[in-house]
Amino acid sequence: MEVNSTSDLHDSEQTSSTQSFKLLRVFAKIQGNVVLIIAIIVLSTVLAFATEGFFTTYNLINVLRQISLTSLMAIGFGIAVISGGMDISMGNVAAMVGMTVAGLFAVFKVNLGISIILSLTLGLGMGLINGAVIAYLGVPPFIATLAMMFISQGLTFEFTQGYPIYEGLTSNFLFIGQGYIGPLPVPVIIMIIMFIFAHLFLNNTVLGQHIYAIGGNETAARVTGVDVNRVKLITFGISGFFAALTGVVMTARLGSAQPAAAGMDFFLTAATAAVLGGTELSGGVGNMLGILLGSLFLGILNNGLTLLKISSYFQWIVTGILLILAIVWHTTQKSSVGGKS
Amino acid sequence: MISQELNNLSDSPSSRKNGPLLRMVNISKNFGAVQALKNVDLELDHDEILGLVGDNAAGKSTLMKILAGVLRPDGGQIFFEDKLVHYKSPREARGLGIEMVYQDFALCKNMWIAGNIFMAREIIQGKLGKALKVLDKKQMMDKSQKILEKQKVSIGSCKNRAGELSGGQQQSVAIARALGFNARVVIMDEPTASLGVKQASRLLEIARTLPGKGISVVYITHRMQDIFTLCNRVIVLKTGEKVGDFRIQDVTIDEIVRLMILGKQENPPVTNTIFIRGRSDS
Repeated sequence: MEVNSTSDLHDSEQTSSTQSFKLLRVFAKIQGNVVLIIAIIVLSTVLAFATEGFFTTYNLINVLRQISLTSLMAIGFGIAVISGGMDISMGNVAAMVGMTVAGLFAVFKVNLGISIILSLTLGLGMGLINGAVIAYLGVPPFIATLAMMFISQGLTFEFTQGYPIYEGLTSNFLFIGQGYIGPLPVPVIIMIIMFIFAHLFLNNTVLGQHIYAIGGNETAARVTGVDVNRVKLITFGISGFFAALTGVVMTARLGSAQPAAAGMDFFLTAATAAVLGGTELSGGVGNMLGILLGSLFLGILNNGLTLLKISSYFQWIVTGILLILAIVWHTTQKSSVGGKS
Repeated sequence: MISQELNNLSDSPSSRKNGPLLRMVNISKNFGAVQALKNVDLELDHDEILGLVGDNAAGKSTLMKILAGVLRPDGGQIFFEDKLVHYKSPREARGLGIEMVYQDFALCKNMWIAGNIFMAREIIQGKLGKALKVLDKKQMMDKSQKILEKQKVSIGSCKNRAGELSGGQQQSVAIARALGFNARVVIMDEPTASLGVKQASRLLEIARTLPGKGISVVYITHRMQDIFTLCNRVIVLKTGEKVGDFRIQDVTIDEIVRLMILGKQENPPVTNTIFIRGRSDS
């Protein structure tokens, strides 16, 4: 008997499944980002009528500047989560790197470029340590990065004794956080460049594909030949790098290095932006446009609530409720179309 | 070096037929205090379908994972066309043409179909793309489409996510991935376990055609009837040891089942370790 076809394997299923769920699947592919775009438009429209000064160039650029720091962290956090990991040390690594760059530049008078490179390398190194502990020692990402959170916080306070650094940060350094290129603040430009870079990296490189692969099905990736440990190592190096970049820009933005500048609150805001943007904590799903939109939505909401003179405590409550709604929405979508989408 | 070997091999897929295609000799594997495999030998001939059976925890999957490069043996050697090979990863095993179709298909359902087919053997763009390992998505798409067409699989665009496919379609992709890159040995691990009756019989027919294409098959299953309709030879494992190796016409289902459960039988039908050249036409 001669059979050369595997098509019969799925003849019957093909007709029934693809027809009945086709529209739903098309919708599922685009819904995440489209829903966020609609939410942003609706929110902005409401705020335009409800507040004075929301729809001004100044305020909108202000929103972008406000989200730039959390977005930088959200990019790194998002990449770690897409790989199926989790990096909760990012806030404290950012604070440590923020202190380091200020210390090198302002206290030890190291050249600005070298100070920044060394500081970013420090963040990268902390991330690689996370990655090595997770990949080669088998420690779960939450525990490994929790440990790194304590270690980096301890190192920061041990070396600074809790004192901030604000003298000696000259204008060429402050330009990174406070300067403008054309109408756009420098942190916003850095954020946009990093979003584009991260998007291209995830979607167009082998490593980016492998990050999605190990997040989606680590075992499948391993048995088909992906060097899972190496991918994990590099992924956490990347999240460490983004934490470091956040720390450097934050110090320049604030004009001083604070040991507690980017603590757990800051980190959780970044994580919230990533989750609102459709990044699934179970791994394998998420994209940079979604994270940008999640960050933007959160930024506009907080800006609007501030303009409406609603207390920051209430903003936390709103953020919490939104987070739950986002997860419920996403879970509902996933179960309606089946599998990860 | 492995890829060079692959090129050499793929130039003449079934030209060298002196001796078995593959030999695993004295393979041992421990998981902590548990000895999963004890000095197991396995030979796979050219153009042969070898059944591998055993009760749960017999060591079938462990042995095949070693062959596929997923696990490393604690002892023993693997010879591929009489050459001693040491591969350290599934990528290197696949480089030799040893592919495995897993029971759960081993697909990343969150990823596009072409990405799954080319997983760990992605096509890289030239020039700058090479340094940055930038994907040549168009080529990956086109080649995936061709691989699927060659297997006569119709599943729409390779841009779609694997998770959007039905179970049967996913298995078609897994098989196409295994067969699409000059495979020499395909290991099928319980391939019919999640299929319906009609689909399972189609899969058996596909497996039956592979030796004619220069591909030898190791077929793991619990379904005895599959062994007897498909395989030339059967190896029985029991708690990590090889307890039988028979030409299919020399053994009955009852004898194999007895071996799987008891690890021995009163009157062995033939002596162990029989090498067969070519397929029987039974």
